[in-house]
Amino acid sequence: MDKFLIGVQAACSLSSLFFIAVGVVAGILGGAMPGINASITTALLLPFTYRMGPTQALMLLVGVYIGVQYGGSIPAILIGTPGTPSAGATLLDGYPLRQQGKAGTALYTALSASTIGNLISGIVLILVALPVAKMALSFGPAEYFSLGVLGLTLIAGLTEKNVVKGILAGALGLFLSTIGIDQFLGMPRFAFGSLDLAQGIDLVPAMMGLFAMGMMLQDFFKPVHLDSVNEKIKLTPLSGKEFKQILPTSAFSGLLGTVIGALPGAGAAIASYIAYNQVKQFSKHPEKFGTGCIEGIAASEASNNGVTGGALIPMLGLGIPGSGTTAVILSALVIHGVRPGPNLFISQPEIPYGIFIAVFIGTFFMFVFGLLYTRMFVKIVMLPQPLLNAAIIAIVLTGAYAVDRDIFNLYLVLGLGVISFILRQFKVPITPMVLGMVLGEIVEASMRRALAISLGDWSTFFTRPISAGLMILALVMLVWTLYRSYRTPKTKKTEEAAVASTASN
Amino acid sequence: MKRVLTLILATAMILAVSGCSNSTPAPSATSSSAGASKPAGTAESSAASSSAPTWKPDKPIDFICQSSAGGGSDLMARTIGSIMNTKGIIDQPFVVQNLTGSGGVQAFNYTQKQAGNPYVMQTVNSAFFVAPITGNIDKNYKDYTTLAVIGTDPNVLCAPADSPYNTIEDVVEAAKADPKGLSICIGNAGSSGSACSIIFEGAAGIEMTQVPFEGGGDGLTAVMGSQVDFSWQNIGEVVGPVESGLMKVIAIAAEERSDAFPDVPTFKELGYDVVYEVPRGIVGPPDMPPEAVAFYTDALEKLNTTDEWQKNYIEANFIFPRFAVGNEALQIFDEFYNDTYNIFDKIGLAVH
Repeated sequence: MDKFLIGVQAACSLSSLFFIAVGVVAGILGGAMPGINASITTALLLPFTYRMGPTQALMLLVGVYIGVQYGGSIPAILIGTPGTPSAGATLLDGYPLRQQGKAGTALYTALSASTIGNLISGIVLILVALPVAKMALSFGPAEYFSLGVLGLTLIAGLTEKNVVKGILAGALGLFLSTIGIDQFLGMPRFAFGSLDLAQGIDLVPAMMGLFAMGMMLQDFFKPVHLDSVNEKIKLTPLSGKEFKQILPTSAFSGLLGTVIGALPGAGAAIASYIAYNQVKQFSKHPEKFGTGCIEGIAASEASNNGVTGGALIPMLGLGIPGSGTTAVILSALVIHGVRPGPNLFISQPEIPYGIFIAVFIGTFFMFVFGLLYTRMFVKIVMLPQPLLNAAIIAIVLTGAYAVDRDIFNLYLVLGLGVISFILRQFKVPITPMVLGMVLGEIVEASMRRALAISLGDWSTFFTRPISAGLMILALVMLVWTLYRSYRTPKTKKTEEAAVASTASN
Repeated sequence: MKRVLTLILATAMILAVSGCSNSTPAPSATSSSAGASKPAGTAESSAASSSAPTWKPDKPIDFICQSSAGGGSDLMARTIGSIMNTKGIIDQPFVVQNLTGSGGVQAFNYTQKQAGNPYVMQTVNSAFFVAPITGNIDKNYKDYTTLAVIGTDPNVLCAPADSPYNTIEDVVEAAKADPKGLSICIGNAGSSGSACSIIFEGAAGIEMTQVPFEGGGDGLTAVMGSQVDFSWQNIGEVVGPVESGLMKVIAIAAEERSDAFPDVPTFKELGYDVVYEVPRGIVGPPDMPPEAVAFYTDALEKLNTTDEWQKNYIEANFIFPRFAVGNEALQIFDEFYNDTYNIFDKIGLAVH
């Protein structure tokens, strides 16, 4: 309890509050800009923290981290392109809602769910940070592989009505993830002598091409007129009933996100897809997912915000940076002579506990600024459709270039845009393809590592308890999904809409 | 007040990011340097002349970095930029560009194409030397302009906290008894960890199973969680975890012991000639104008004498201080390149 108070003291000074607020604002803006992710935003601010005290420096960076995860949902909902890879699952229901003129509801749902996700992860941080950190260490390559397999079962969940097309898209995504230099042998694969391809396909331009560019091309040939829809956009906060509807989903996803976030090798994108699938499979009305269901948005957003707190656990408790962002925060600590690890919780409790309290304060600021920003951002989609589309293409291409200043990214966006357009004509869903790319690397590298360690013995995936548990869970999810899709009658109109909508996403 | 201003600027920077990224520097920009070109890699040291340089940058400098935001080289680049500006050594801002593709090859190629441009510099890591050896890039360090070496960053051999192996003798004995039975995390193929493993296995006559893990963080997790038996890590990243008793350090692959772990012996002390100190340095594009080279080496020398640099970078990351510019720096590069070549040649990976 004393430590808790020390944390409150550290995080509630006037300067701390100020820096958290600045961080959150910068974070939301960075997250909302496709191509600018959390690690770039924090790295840009890092030099400015050198002259601050360690606490203030952390307040600023943690504020950014919180803001970015929420900011990424804004373009996902409004223009169908996630601002950060972790908001990829948000657009599954967010964009259909926007098409129905309910952009306001979608944005407020994302904001509320993000808030709940943050609060849950904050509570976990305060109560059990160190035990969770130790638990994360029991995740070896075999466990990461099984987690990846669990993620891949989502392909079946996303495409119940046409599993073959889903698997086709997923396999394409897995294939794309194998392009580039093989980190085990140091040799390029599928690069055909091109140095650009040898760099591999970055997730950010890939998502922009597959989602935004593909959609723009589709819109060019088959325009969807949203002007009449835009007139209906209302900005009323969530009703009590809606809030009640998303509360359990958000709490569960926030917790799941925190746990996955605490695994240094997983990440926010994986967490949001896994949470989305779990919530969908155990929902009473899974057929509504993908057509504009607020629980879908809540699952994705609560989990990717849960990851924020979760990722701080191994960073503070073990000194392991699990992501680019936590690596930046870690280096801000190191510069001030602070060495993370369990000892830090005893020797300098104001730092870990200050950060924990900062998560709550940052969440408060995120909510307040989120309310203000929502009004501002919604105006964007009120633009006439041609103008908006032109602006989206410009933003997407600029963002893809900004990732690592490589002109090749623009060709990637355009090329994958065309592929996505063609796939859409055959009603092949796009999300499994992105999922394949997200999971491809973790699945392949973890499998090869696990087999190297076990000297080629495949039973390692089934004899290690956590790995075996995840494998069984994956199997259960798969059987359950297939059983339910088999049982439900296939002629309802809503379901056809669901297929069409999944295909267009 | 200054802090507030700083923060306003910082926020403005976020907004300007995409804008910044568009302003590609014009190749071979300024006037005074037009005709003058020098053979690459033979940068003239201005160590002796502390007189005011004749050339000064009048627009922002691109700092190309092969590691992602938050990585070791990125941290170095951002710290240099920040101290140069706050100490008034260089007024123009540094814009750090993380070109991480192909384990750094993208960054090295970018700099290579900027011949003669005095507004580009680049950080150096082990991949900068390894990539041309294994054939992933056709130009080596001699095709760049050497600016400075700021120190070296050796690897340490780590083990889980409860590992039964405490000394090199334990490790060698166990590895001899069970060839390939012990696993060791080496970072990416071609990283400094894989070089260390090759040297160590050769010197001790042993064989272990090398498991590549991407990035230092993944390796740390694996060794703390006893997923592997050993891991090669940089000193800076293990100090905290070792102090907290989450893992231990067995030996250091350097000529001397480190201040971070005064009790940990070097391999050399124990009779194994395992020394592999990766130079952390800065290079410019080929044919950088000599005036610019003189200006930057002078600026880097000034940087090296500031307390901020020594404290925030060298000491905080436990870098072995070994500052050098000009020919002396090139010599360090020569030595390291030759060592690395021999290591990878031995196992048949050297192409050039």
